Amino acid sequence: MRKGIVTGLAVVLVFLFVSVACAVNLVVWSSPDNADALHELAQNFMAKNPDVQIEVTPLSWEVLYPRILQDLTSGAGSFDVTTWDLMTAGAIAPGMLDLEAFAKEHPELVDPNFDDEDFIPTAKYVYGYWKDKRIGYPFYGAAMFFFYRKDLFSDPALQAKFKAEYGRDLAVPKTWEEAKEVAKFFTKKFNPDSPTEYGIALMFPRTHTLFYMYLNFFGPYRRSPEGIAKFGKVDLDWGDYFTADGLPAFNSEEGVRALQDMIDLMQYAPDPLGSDYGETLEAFGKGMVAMVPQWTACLASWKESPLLQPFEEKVGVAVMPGGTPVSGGWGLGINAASKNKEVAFRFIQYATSKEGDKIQWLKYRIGPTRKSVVEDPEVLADSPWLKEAYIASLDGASHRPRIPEEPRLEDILVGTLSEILLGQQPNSIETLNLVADEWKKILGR
Amino acid sequence: MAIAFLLRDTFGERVFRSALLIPMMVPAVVAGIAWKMLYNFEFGPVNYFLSLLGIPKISWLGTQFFSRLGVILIDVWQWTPFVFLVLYAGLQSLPRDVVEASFVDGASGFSAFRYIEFPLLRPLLFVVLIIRVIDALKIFDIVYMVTFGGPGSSTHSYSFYIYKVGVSFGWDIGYASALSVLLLLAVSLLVSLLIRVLRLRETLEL
Repeated sequence: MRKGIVTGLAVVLVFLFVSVACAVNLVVWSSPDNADALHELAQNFMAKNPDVQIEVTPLSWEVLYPRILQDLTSGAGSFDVTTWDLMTAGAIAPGMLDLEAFAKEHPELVDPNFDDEDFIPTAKYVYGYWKDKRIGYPFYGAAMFFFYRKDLFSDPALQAKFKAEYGRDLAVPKTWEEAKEVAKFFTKKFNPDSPTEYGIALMFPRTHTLFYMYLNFFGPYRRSPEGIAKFGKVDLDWGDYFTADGLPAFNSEEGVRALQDMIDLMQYAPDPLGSDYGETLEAFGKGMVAMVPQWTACLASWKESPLLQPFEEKVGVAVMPGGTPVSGGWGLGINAASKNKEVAFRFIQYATSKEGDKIQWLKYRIGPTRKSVVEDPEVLADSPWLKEAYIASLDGASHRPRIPEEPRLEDILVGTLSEILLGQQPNSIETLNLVADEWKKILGR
Repeated sequence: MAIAFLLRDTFGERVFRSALLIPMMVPAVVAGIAWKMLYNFEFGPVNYFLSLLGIPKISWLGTQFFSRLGVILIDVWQWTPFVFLVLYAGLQSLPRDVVEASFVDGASGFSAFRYIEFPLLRPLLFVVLIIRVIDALKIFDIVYMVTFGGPGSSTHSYSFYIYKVGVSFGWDIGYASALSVLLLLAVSLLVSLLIRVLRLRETLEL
């Protein structure tokens, strides 16, 4: 009897040892907003591939980027797959696997249904390429959107009052000038009858948030016909902060006006300099504001908010005033030092497939990157605004620099922008020139 | 010091003593998140309780003065237990016979503290002061979690800049190391100066 138990245990142990030894363990690093979706996609992939174990590790933005850089620089290979923010493309590119070259070397691993041409063209480039190197497949397509309280904008009493005061219809603002009026109308301090305490929730903290928020205001000037004539076309690697010649564009009359728009709006927002993502999300979710520029990931939280029910009647989504929302989003790529490149390649193809793209939008509000998903009837039934606002936002999006020097440039500009918004420095071309000079020094121009 | 003095020989001393140590045991990251919520402009308890006193809402993280004050308050909250612990232990170890002799000679409680206990505690106070100065100069975690150096450059600390150079900007370890050495030199200089000014060598009989 005892002999039997011992033999049985030995067999089980050997089986377990062999299973563990044969299984491929894939380490996936992810930003927190992508992690839940990646976790489900990993589960699906493991169900189809029992010999693969995937561990998804969420790391905050501030931690993820430095850790990726550290690993790629040292060649340690601590992770196999990672989500990477579009603006880190230039910095991480040298250490990432060239997916096109890899696919050519391993045609047997390429999924015949992958359909590379299905990606939205802008998304395919900014979440996939650095120069000519394919460092990832588009995973999270994102541009900022303008969320508003649909029920308030369609309230007849509020519409009549707005028209009486401003001589035009109450409508979702299409420019920042219009946004100022609407925000004022919905701020109790200026309109005691306002149903909301504040008109708009803004996040201008001294973090990378300010770097992208500024582009929502500078973009309309930079992308206007006058802006294009003055600064030249926008390069997708250098982004809207630069001229076509790679020189800073924000130290200009347009840059000052964009900042003035931000300053003008701050009086209609709750604590804009002390607020970040979480605070603005909460302000809108608790019915404190009528409008908020935000990312799509907020939708999942707002859908659960009791004050925003019924959701479809209370929350509307529009293109950012000015029409050039800042782009965000993530690619999914493979560490060149990974020891599991074959499995990693199969996994990222699945995660960014049409199936994966649809799952991540419907369940986790991770923005789609594929045209077929944006046009999918099930997706459109779920989010009717998507087709019109999403493609328009992604196509017209303004971009941050994707060059390796980006973090340094960002820190210098954010410091000065924050000081200007705080009133510590004047909002002038001279102030912005100082930043531009520092940028040029860093870039050797 | 006042806490240590007030707590000594009072009812529930052990409970209060343990409770007072909690802030020091909370990791700075957790404390930072908690305080960020406490300081929330619209929904934070700090502004709520201030409003009960008729004080208007304060932008704790969005104005120069209050963001600095906010960071200082968190630091004080977190490290008061350490100062308390050292001074409390010091107070407990003072020779009781000297204090009791002063009472026999007619000294009041305050006089005994002013002329006997405080002078005896002074060396400890100086040591604690120096440790806190060193700590404050290298403040990083609270700034990182709560204000990220802002608004503007209101709460930007030297250590935070070293972190950004060394990590966020792309692992410029050489420059960050040089900055760290400068910090070390500055702290050493300041501490030497403090030791000289406070005559710590003589006080501690070193």
